[in-house]
Amino acid sequence: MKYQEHFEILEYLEQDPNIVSSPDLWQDDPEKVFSDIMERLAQQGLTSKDPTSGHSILASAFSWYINRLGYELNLKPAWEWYQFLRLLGLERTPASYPVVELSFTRKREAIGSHSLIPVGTEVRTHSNDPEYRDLAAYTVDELHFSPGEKTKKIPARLNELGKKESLPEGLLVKIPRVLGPIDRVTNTRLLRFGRDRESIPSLIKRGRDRIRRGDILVSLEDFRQEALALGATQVAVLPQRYGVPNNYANSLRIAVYPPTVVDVVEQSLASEERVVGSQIVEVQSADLIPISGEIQIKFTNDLAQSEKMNLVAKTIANQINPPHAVWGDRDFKGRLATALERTEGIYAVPKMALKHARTGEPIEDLLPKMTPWQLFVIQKSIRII
Amino acid sequence: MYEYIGTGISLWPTSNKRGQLNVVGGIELLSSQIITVLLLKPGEDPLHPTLGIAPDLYEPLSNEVPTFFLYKAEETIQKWLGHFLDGLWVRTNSDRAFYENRIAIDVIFRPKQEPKEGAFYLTLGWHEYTGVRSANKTIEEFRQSVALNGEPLFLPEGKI
Repeated sequence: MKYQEHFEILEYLEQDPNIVSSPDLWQDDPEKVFSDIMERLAQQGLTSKDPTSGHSILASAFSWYINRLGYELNLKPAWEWYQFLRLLGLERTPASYPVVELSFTRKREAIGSHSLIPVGTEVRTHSNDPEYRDLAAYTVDELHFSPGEKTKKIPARLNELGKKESLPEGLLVKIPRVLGPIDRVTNTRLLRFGRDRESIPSLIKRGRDRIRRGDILVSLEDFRQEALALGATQVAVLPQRYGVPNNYANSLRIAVYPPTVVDVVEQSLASEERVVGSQIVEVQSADLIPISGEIQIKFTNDLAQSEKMNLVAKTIANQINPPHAVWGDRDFKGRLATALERTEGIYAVPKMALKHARTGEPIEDLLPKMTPWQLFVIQKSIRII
Repeated sequence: MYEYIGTGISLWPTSNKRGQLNVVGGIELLSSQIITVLLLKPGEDPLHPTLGIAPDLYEPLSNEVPTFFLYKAEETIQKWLGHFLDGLWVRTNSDRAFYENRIAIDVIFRPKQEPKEGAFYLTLGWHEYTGVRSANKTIEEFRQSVALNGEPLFLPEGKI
């Protein structure tokens, strides 16, 4: 076990007084042990206290190694936690890589023929930004171009483990190996955000929750937590009164985002062994309402057009669009304006003309009709003036 | 005479002629402390992490010359044992009969309150010293090269 985890647990115990913390089993300072030994030896006739004398060197090594053992001893309580949780069948979930989508475009001369991009092709970045400088992506499958195909997309995993909230488009553009038929490559969107390794405090919390209620799902919060644990980033659990009119008083509607996890969540949550009595669980994808239109924005200083766009896109991706959206958000306009105005570089959002991206219905008509399983998603077609 | 040095265990050698723990004082303790300073590398004594002489980052492939070492050794001994000494010189002296065809390092030191004129000579073989520091030679070869005022500081193994 790494020492870092020991300190994480200590930090967690400070925040949560319900768990009794254990005292340090060994508290002595090696310098103090050393000077005590030297005092005692001086009484026995070894009067030299110079650090270069033989008994001083032996005492120094002794007190130091005793202290190292004491340090290991102090890690024991954390180790006991970990082993205890393992005994209960709880293990830390490992970290995983983010997956990004790469778009390969062929040269004009190569379009008439077949070409193959091998699995594991590396794509790097030109960026000098310290955050992205060492980033690379490796394709996870072979990519086969048939005659006539110009551009194709393929998933690729990044080289860094852990969660990545967002990745700018057009960052990964450099192919270090020579790939004859390829003209250019770029990354388009994040397919999976990846995951950090679970911390021991989070494991302790998970263990406590599990002991409290077991595998049975009772309260609305139980269903919500379980859906989140299964990979959903936004969950709305709605009792019967919100649902479509039906005759089942004990039915439960769960809306989840992203839509890809619906099957997994349904399999796990709707099984008869996990619910109490004859509760009926219905899992559905969140109803996404695409939003387009125009927003008028005043920027504080002379930013380049692309910088302005990036600023707005980043705010929308990190605060407005799922997984940061609000269910059935009737204050959507206010929330969007506030988020934008709080962004550094923007000082006012005087006017918005938003509408449904497909039907063209203005947002003022959409807002009163919002239901708690609906989410607004701002589309790329939105215009910034 | 040398009460200010005190008594202590000498690591060079660790046992005396009677096979007991080698508790010494005065000049003998000071000599053993000088050898300790010369043999240790920084970090080997965890509570005094700067004690010792740092190895060169790049060591020459050809024959090593002790020129740089002399300066470094004198500085380090002065730093750790200077409070016992009135004078300290580290010299190389290869023309002594005892060290024919070999390079010898003389640590010439004069303790405080020394009543007589002159100083003490602690001699060690250069190749034995560098060999034992880079683990090319055994500590026994090094021991045999050490002398205090021309007399061997260590007895051969088994001769008690």
